[in-house]
Amino acid sequence: MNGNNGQILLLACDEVAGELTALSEKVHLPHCAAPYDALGELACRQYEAVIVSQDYPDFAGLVRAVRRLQGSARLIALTDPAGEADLQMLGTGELDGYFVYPPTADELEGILTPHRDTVEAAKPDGPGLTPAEVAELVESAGNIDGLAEQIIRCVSTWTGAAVHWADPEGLAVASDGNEPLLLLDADPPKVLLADATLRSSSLRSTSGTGEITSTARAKLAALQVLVGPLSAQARRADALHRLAITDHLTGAYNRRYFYHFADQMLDRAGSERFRVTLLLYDIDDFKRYNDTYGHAAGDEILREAVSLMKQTTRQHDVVARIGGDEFAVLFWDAEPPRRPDSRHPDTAYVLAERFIAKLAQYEFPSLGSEARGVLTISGGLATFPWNGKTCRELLRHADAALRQAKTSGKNAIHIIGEKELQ
Amino acid sequence: MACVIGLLPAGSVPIISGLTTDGFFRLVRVGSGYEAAAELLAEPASALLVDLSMLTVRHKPLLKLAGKLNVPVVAFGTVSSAIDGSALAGIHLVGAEQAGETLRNLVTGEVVAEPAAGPPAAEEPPCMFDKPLTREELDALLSD
Repeated sequence: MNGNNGQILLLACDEVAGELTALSEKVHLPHCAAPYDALGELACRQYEAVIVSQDYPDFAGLVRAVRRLQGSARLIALTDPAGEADLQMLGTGELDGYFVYPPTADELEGILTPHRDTVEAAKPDGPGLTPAEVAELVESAGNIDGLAEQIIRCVSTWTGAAVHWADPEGLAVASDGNEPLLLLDADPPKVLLADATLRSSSLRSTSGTGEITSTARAKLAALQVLVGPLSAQARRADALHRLAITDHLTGAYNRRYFYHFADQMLDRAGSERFRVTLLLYDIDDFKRYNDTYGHAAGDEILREAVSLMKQTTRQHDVVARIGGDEFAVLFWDAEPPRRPDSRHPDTAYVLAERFIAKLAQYEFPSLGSEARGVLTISGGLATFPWNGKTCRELLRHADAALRQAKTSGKNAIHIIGEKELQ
Repeated sequence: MACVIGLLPAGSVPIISGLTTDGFFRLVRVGSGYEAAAELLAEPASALLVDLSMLTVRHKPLLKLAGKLNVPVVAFGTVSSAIDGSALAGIHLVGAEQAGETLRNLVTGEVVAEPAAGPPAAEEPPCMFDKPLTREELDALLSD
C-alpha cells in the first residue's frame, strides 16, 4: 500500500499506477498492486472511488469483492483497448463506469477529482437558496442538460418570468438591453436570459421600478455562486458517461451502449409502430491489413471507417463498434407507422450503399499501394419486426446475412433471403 | 447461527445442502477467492469451507488471510494441479460427507483431527494432472 488520502484507491500494477500518477498532477493516487492487500485496505477505510485494473485474473470476482466492502464507492474499471469488448461482455452491474488505458490527462482528472466536496464548499451561507432548492440542483447535476433545465425551472419560479438559455456571442451582437441573469460554464457556454416579451413585465418588480425583485435577485446571486461547481460536476459526469458509452479507439458507441440503446429503441418501435434496421458489417480481410501494414494501420482503418460511416448516416442513427473490426449501425425512423404491406426501408439500403461507395474512394495513407479502392466491407441487414423483435434476434439475422455476404465473395451487403446490394 | 463462507463451485449443491438444514450454519456461498476474502473481512466467520478444485496458487493469500483471522479452513474434493502442497498446510482436509461434521466440531470446539496431517479421507482422491496421487506423492506435497 503506497500512501492514502482516504479518497480514491487504485488497484493496478506498479507500472500502470506510476503512469497514472504522473498524469494526475492534481490528485494524489494511492494504489495497491496485490488484490488481497487491497481488500484488506478496503475493509478498513471508506473510499470515494476505487479503480480496478481489468488485468487481474478473475476480474469479475474481484469487482464483486470490492463492491462488497465498499458499498457506496464509485467503482471504475481500468481496461486496455483490447479488453474493452470483454469488459462490455462481462456486464458487471457492480461497475459505475470504466475508462480505457491510457487516458488523457483531462479524462483522468474528470474521473479522479472528488466532486462532492467542491459543491459542498460552494453552498452559499446566506438565505438565498433553500436546502430543498440546493438539493434539487445538486441532484440535477448528473449531466449538464439536466442542470440547465433545473436552473430554468428555478429561475422561472423565482422571477415569475419565462427564461431561456442563449449563446453569449449572439447576445453581444443583439445588444438589446437584455441583461444576462446567469452564466453557465458549459460547452459551449450559455447565458440565461428572460424571454423578450416578458422582460418588461413580470421579471421586474411590481412597484414599477424596472428592477428584478430583491428576493429573486438574492436567489440569483446565490445560484451564481453555486452554479460554477455544479456545472463542473455535471461536466465531469458527462465526461464519465461519454467514456462509459464510447469506444476509445474509434469514437463510435461501444457494444454495451449499443445493446442498451437498441433494446430501448425496439421497445419504442413496437409501441409506436415504426421501423428499425440493423446493419452489421466488418472489414474484409482486416487481419491481412493488420499483418501486412501493422496495428497502427489497422487502427487507422477502424477510425477512418467509423468516421466515414458517421458522415454517411444521419445524426440520429447509432454507429457502434461491437467487436474487433465488427460494427453495427441502427437506422431508425420514427415517422410513419408501418403498413401491412410495407417492406424493408430503402433508407438503410441507400445509406449502406453510399458508405460502400465512399469507402471505395477513400484514401488510407498507411495502406501503401492499397491505399485507395482496395479496402471493402461485407455486411448484413436485418429489420424490425420482420427479422426479429429483439436486438439479439436482429443481430443474429444480420450476422447470418453477413456470413452469406462473406461466402459469396465479400464486398457486399446482404439481407436474409433477399438480393444483395452490390 | 454460525456463519460459514463457502468457496464452492456450482456443482456442490448436494454437498452443502445438508449443512444448513438444521439451521446450525448459515452458509455464505461465493464463487471467487476475492469474494471469500471480502466476506471474511466484512463480518466474523466461523469457518471457511473450500472445494479443493477451486484452489490455485492464486488463493494462497486467501488461506493466509483465513489463518490470520483465526478462521479454520475445511476443504474437500479433488486437489487442483495448479496448487502445491505447501498451500494446504493447516487446512482440515476431509471427505465431502464429513465436511458438515468437521465444521460443527470446529465451531462448537469439539476435538478435531490435526489439519493436513494425512491424505484427505475423501471418496474422490486428490489428483494431479487428473491422475490419482500416490501416497508418497501426497506425503511429499504435504511435507513442503
